[in-house]
Amino acid sequence: MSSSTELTEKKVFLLKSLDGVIFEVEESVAVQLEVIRELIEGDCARPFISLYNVTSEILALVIEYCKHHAETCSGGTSATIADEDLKTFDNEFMNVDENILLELCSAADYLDIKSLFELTCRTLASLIKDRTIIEVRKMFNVENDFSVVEEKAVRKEFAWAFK
Amino acid sequence: MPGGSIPSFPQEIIVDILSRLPAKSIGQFKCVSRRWRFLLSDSQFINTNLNLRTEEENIILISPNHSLQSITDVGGDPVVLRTLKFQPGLPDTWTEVVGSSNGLVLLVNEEDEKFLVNPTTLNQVKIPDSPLALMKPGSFSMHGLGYDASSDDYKIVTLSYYDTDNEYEPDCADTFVDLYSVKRGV
Repeated sequence: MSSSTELTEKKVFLLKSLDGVIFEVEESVAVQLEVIRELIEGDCARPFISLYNVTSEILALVIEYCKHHAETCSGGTSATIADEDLKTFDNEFMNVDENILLELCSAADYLDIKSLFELTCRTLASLIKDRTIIEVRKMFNVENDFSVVEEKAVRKEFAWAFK
Repeated sequence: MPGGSIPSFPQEIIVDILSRLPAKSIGQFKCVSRRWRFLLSDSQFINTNLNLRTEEENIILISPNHSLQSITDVGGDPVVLRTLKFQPGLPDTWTEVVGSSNGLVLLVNEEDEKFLVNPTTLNQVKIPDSPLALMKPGSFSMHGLGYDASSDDYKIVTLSYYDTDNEYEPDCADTFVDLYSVKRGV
């Protein structure tokens, strides 16, 4: 960070969640949300931004994630130490309830935070990879529209996957 | 039973999550519903999946008794070693792993026959020799497998030449090159 920006007052944004909770974040954190970065670059950013698709519970987590990533990346530590630190943080951060993970994933998509989206997608993939078909149907609310005969045939076709 | 569910989780995000799954889970989840079967068979989905599964490593090797073994290392999970058993009638006489491309493996057996195999599904296809190829006893062949993005096809190149008793100076006058397109089957 250059000395001139340090002297000027830090720019803050107010983010309002779906349920009306307002979070104050610094610009360095706000720009991690690609949707906001684009607003800032296009000079369309108002200091007060409403995020209609994210609840306060999830937004608090998203901000915690962005804050940690912004601080680690701007800190004076070497790249390898920063990488290790982020890995540890990410692992712990993903240690949450499955429904929270799904909501975080959806929020990361909506707010366009690529690293968080990748992280949640990978975590969810490793969670579901050994689940049964019935468990997966329940998790994603998918109706089984195969007839009994069709399902038998399709299971036979992909029998290699069940070995 | 683990997990709950979200009533209307966006379809595109589900696809993003599924495209990070290993091949085996994708095979199983094709049995979830008609829609999932369609989504998971889409060629764009398959390409994305191949590009995203970079942490997964598979090693294919031939054991001293000529059977085929695979070692799978999916980042973090225990390493799995298994013997690949193809359908009956295909004896374990493998002599060479020629090469691999996007998970498909080209193998040669004792009879100098080429097989293209998928170690995950255990599907296998025998690659025929060209009718114009050099006579088998007396000639040597080298093979190669590659993916041709322009035609979205796998191609196998065979280079054969007659034995001249001098391995450093093959008789180039009698060289035969065969290019086989897996998609077209010729």
